[in-house]
Amino acid sequence: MSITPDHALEELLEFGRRFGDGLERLALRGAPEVGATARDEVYRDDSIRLYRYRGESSSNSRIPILIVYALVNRPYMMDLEEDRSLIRGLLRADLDVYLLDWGYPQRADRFLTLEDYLQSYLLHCVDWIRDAHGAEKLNVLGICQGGVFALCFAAMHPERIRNLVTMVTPVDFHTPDNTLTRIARKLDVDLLVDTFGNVPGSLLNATFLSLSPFRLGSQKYVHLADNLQDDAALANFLRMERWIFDSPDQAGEAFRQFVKGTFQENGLIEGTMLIDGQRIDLRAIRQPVLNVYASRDHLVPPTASRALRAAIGSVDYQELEFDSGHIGIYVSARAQEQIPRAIGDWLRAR
Amino acid sequence: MTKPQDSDPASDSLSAQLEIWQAWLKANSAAAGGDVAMSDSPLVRILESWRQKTAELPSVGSNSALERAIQAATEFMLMGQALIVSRAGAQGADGDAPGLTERLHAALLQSGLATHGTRGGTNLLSALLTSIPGELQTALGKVHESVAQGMPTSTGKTLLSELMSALGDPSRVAGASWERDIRVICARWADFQAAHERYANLLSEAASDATARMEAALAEDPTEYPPQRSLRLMYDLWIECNEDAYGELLAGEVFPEAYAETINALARLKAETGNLGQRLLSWIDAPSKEDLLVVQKRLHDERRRSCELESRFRAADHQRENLEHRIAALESLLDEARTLSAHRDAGNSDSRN
Repeated sequence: MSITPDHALEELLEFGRRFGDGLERLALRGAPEVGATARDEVYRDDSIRLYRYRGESSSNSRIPILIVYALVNRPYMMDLEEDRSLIRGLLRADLDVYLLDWGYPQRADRFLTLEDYLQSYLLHCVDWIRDAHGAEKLNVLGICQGGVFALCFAAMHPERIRNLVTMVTPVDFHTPDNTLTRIARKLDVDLLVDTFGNVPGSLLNATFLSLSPFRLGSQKYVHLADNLQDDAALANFLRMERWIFDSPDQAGEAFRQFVKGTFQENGLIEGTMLIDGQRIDLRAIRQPVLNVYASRDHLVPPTASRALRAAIGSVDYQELEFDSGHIGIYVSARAQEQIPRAIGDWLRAR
Repeated sequence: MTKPQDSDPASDSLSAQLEIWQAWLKANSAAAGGDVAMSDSPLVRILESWRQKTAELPSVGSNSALERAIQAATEFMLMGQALIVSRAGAQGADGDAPGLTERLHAALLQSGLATHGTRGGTNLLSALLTSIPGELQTALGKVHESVAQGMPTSTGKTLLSELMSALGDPSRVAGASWERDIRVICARWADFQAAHERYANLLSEAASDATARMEAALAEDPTEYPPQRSLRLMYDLWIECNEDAYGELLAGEVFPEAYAETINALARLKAETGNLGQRLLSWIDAPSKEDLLVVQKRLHDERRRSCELESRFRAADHQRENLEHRIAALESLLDEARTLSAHRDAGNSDSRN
């Protein structure tokens, strides 16, 4: 070991000074604004909102695409800030971007089911956009849990979907490398929902962070000391912090259905998932599918995503592997450059 | 020796702080058995100065990122101090001071990083408690405290007195039998403690594994880890060792099961406290949870029915539009036919003339 006490002491004191000096900046900074791109609310139903983003061009030739995000975090991750915005990239790729924001379920929403989310909220949004564009079919981009929703929806309403893009979407929940599943399979989900009603987002968040507790709970804050004097870096850091800890509670009944149907029973692969009394058969998906996944995803292992190829009926299936983790695929500089362009090119070719 | 209290470590120059620290190290290296009283170190004063600085700022209460950052920086500082103390003790001797990694680890354990499980448990408990309203929460908090201190016999009294004052109607509550409720809550609490202990024991095993990995790294085995040249690199290495050890634990079957069981046990505890709350509410004729659930369910079902009706209405409207279009098209055809017929009649008339 090459550390001497004197050098270590100097380093420690320097760290203490830098961190101490920056504390005030960190304390007074407050919650940073998120959302970099202008948008209009075009439809609302209960807590959900459908937004249409304003692009630079107003060309009618722009291809409409609906982003379906997960319930477990907030969708502003897609438009975190100017240079970290998947949505801006999609607009630049000349797509007409819509985003479905599920909102924050209230206590009275505990009886919301997957039927409500898919057959009511999502269906109405899809139909609104189809009507607005006079189009029979729509392109859908499903992200993470939203990708599962998009797959189920496409299997139930294939006549409404032109092309489907899934991003970091789990399909086979029982691959051996799926840590979340190993925990979720042992959860007494009936007890949780019957006891809590809506399942607190903080519980889920604690579980997500527990998959890498030392990096996410300690190291990144120590490294923050290097950036406390840098306004832009500090703002970036705080935006990510806001997003990470902004975890909506989960509507109880939908949570029960989702955890049982996917994590516990692996219903998309086994063909046992039921929504609105209808068995979800992914083979009904014959549309072109682009499956984007992250090679170092600790939440949704690539194997869980890539199982989609064998599960669907589509002959036009393409994969795009991106070298990042689950979050880097939205916010890394390389992702901004590559992913929206790849999606735009893929859509235009169909 | 310069006393640490004579000066402010947060504002002094680096060289002045170095002097303070070195004096403290010297005093400690002379201590019997080489044991170091960490609580006397100048580090404690630096940490205290952070706390004081942030406590005076107006927005601190709502800035949890700040709290997390201070916690992590404290862990780093503790690790650094442990390393300095160990290396100072080893000066003049060959190799590392004996027990270096153990000291490092002890410092980190003390800082709470390796007790991640406790943090998880605390989060879960917070969620439990925040989902129980007002005065009842205070009462149950005291019950938890009472049980945690191993005083189950006093738990009943604590609960009774707290609940009586919370409800403000002692006569109604005092007449009730609490024995069963208290026994069940205590049993659930014990189950949760046992589940959490199992979980924490597994984490301790991972912490030992991480220590072994750290020892291998500090032995400068170039096949495992690069040599460490700064505290920061040392800290990053420690994080890696822990993530590796923890990752292995996570990849097995036993730990995820223990994790899930901790959550399940907590939910059972909350369910029981909820049941107790229901009994109390029934005595003051407040609506029960079941009543509220029935209303919520009915609201949900009505909303859904209304959505279905809207959907049917939209479909009917769509059909009506289609029919109107078809009628318009038919009318247009009819007009065309009439025009053609008129032309034909006119042609016939001309030819007759």
